[in-house]
Amino acid sequence: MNRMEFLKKQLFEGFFTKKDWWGDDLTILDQPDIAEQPMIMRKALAFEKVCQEMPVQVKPQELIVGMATMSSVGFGHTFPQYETEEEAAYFAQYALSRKSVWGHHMPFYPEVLTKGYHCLILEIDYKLAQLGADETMKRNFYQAARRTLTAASEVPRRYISLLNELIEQESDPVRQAELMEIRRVCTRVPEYPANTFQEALQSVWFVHMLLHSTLTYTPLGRFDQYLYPFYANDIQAGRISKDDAKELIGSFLIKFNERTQFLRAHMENHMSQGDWSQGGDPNVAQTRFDLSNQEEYNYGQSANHWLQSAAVGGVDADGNDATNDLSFFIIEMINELELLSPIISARVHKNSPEAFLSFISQELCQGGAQPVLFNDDIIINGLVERLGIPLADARDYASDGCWEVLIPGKTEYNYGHIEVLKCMEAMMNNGKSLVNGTQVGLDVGDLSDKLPTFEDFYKAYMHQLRHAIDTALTNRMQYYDKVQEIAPEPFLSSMVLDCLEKGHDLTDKGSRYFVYSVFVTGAAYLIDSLCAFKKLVYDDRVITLAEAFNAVKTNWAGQEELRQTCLNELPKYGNDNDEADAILKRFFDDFCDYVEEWNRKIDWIYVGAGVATFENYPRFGHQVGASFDGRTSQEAFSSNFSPAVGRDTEGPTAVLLSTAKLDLSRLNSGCPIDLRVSFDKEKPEENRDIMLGFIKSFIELGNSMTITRVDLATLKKAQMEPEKYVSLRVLLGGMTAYFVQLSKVQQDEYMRRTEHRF
Amino acid sequence: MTDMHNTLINNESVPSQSMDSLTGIIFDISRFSVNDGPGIRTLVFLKGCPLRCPWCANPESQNPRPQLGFYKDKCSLCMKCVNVCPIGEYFFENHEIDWENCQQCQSCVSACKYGARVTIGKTMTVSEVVDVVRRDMVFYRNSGGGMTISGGEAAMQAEFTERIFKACQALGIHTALETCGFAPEEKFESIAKWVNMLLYDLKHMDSEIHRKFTGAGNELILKNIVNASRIVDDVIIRFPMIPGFNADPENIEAMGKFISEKLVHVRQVDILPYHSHGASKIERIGGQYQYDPDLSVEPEKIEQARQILKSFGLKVSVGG
Repeated sequence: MNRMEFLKKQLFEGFFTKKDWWGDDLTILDQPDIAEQPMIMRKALAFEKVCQEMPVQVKPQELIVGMATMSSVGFGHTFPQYETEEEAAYFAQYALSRKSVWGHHMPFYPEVLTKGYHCLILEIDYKLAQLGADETMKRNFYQAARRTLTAASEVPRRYISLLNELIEQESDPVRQAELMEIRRVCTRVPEYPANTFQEALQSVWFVHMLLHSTLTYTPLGRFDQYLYPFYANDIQAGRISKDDAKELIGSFLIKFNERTQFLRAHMENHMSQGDWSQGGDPNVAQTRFDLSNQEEYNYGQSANHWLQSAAVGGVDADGNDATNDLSFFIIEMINELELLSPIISARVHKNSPEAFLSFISQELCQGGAQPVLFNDDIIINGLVERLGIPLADARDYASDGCWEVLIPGKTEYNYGHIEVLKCMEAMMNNGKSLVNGTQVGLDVGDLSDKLPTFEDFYKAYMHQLRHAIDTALTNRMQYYDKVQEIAPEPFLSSMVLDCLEKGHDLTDKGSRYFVYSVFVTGAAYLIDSLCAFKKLVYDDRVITLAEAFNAVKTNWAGQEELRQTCLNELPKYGNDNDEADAILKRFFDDFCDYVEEWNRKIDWIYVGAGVATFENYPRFGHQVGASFDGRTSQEAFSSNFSPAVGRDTEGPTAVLLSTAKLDLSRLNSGCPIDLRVSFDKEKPEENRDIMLGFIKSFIELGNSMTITRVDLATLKKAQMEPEKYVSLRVLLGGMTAYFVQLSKVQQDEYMRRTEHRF
Repeated sequence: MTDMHNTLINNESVPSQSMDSLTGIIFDISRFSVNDGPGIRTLVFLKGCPLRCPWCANPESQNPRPQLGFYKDKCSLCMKCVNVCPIGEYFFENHEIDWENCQQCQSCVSACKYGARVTIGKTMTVSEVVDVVRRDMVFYRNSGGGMTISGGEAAMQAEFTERIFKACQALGIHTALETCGFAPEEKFESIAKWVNMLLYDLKHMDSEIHRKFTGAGNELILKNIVNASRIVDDVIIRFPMIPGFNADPENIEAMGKFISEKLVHVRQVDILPYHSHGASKIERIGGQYQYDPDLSVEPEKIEQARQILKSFGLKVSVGG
């Protein structure tokens, strides 16, 4: 068994071992006079406690070391308490707590690698020396940031102590030499600039591991780009071979997966009220990242997810292709090891090397759903033309937690969902949800006899939509500065441009860019619903608007025939149907126009636009009543920008062509189409070439796309005999997941997806 | 709107210059097909076939007229069809269609909201067909694909077929024809001129056996392929390998000899082993499957056939 096989086996066995959650009962409030300290310093002290006390472990055969503490998107995090009970109660009013850390945005790794903590500390000292006496906020920030960097340097030292013991005990001279090299690496990074490829990988991992052990789920950015100089140096100097590099990459990538838990019984729930909150009015939907519905949804969606995405390939700052050896190796190792994380986004464009496109095609044909595809030509254009991001930075875009587009290391990022079917509910039902009666929009009274034409109908709908966008953005703006009061991020801020320069925490407008994306959620069902109203109520006058509203409000009671008519006889988005796509285009033009209006209104934040459910498409559907496209109450949505489940009957070319009727550069935060495909024949080269042709067409037509190769028969077998399909990966909507680890509900939902036969 | 987007609209999605209103009967247009010709293709299935092969995989394509199809699993027994059907009582009582007496009026299709009753076959003009085909231009260009006319038998609607091919070639779309070859010589030849790739079925070299199973002898079929292989410079011979009919080594031997001696431009021979997919389809149109659905070709037999054909210097592929 070679090292990769060994590490893979060790990893997968670990999936079935209960992992201990560490640190939830810790506090720093027992330290003297702690409550006198500013909150940001208390956060730094709590961070320091984690650095000093978190468990350390080195596993057999691994080349990159460091264990993150246990946590999960779906099951929460742990972190020492640093706020008093009174403070906690105060911030709870704004749906905030010390765990209200949004993650998603990442350090500027190119600089972390070339400067190291040490140099950042020197910069801070320089800045501190220049501060005026009254610049308390800045001083607090710098001192807290300095404290975290110093504390973070302790972590490698603790590993060195452990390694000293292991080296002494090790009987195998080969492994002993490896451990000594790892120990040497730990003396260098991340405190000092990395020199070798192994140092660079270890440096990134230590930083990442620590962020993830201290509440902040960060992605990785373009790691093939910032790691490349170190790889190239080593290769040129003859220090490592390409195979050595792959081993190092494999060992590195495995680290991102060690927190995975397969068994529900092994999962501890540490979710609390403030988790994922951006702060705001607790009554506003966008305030909370709501994971409150049935646990099996939650478990399937996000139990083994930490927003660890990364990008490879794409163009450089000058617009030239920047695909390199690492772009290939990373994807190769992810798939060879059958890993979920990081979720790799491959950036492609019209000048991507044929070899890279062909390689991606081949990998996607083998299943596993990695990589996700992003079209540089559309997205960069959108970032520059629509958002006004400078070209060189736009060309450096990467994916954040799942796939949202951002400028890595320079951005404070978050988003809100605009649940477009809730706007429809509000319109039909006096502003109230059909599921639970809560307020989901404006109450404008009974409209059922007040909208004589489709134009009137559409206007009334857009009124609700604009209200939803206004609510999300107003809420965000109003409470933007609240988070820093309880959950500042001095460690991350010290590594995000331009926080140190400005002397501001990331949560205090320290970064170069602030982006808030509004994501259309439930898009396919809205478009199909608008089509249905237009056709049946206004064009063909088959039924009245009151009757249509009534059918939806009663969840089609006694109206199965009408529902079937809506399902079977009307135009649907995703089929290159001009009638449906005209409504699609109209809606998104209007949506994007309004987002741009907001962009003009506020100058300090960029408002991005996209289409997203992420992996939460069952939950979003679960919170919405029936819709006039034929969907029943609480039925799951399709993921992201995918056509409604099972309604894309004209094949994948028609899906792409439907979306291409929009100017997709306007959806500059991303709008993935998620395709499930199968192959009729086992002819690897032919299959690859078809995939290649499809991907090249995507580069002309699309914005972002995921492709999971798995057929229904395999999924059924996996459901029956999960032990034989442990490593079967599917892409849900943001993250990849091991299919057999999903709950039955989630599995069944996944299996309903259209299977496009390649 | 991006530049690229504009280019696409300008060059590839403009409406046809001239309308061709000649009509034909189509039974399906299938986009993103990858099994009948190179690359990503759109398949246009024409309705109507002169042969009656009992193993036919698309039995709903045989009849040249539109006909009723019934998807029993989608039927909710709402009985809306009964009210509009001249012989609706039978369905009301038996929950089955009285196929023998069905007048093919298609009234029930619009009454059915569940998609259980459909009309198989629709009339389309040449322009309408081409307008669907051209939508996937980007994909053809990037994958070396194009369009394929299949059937049924396209040559039964020879002029319609020819004009679709002509229009597609004018747009730079690669054209392929999938055919059984049973058509008058001059008609077949006039179509073949517009074909970039020919996918040609050869079933049996013995005319009597051919007639016994398919309803027609093979003389015309052999004649047409000899001519066509001189006109079309890319030919794939397709051999549906049917146990109990043509799977014997003697026939395959004779076929190999014929292909290698009489034909030119043959890129390869595809062996298509028998499957009974037609069985479930034929029930939907009230027919009965006329071949044994449980038969299958043993892998050794396929390998043997492959070896025989290879011995004539032919490139052989299994499964097309």
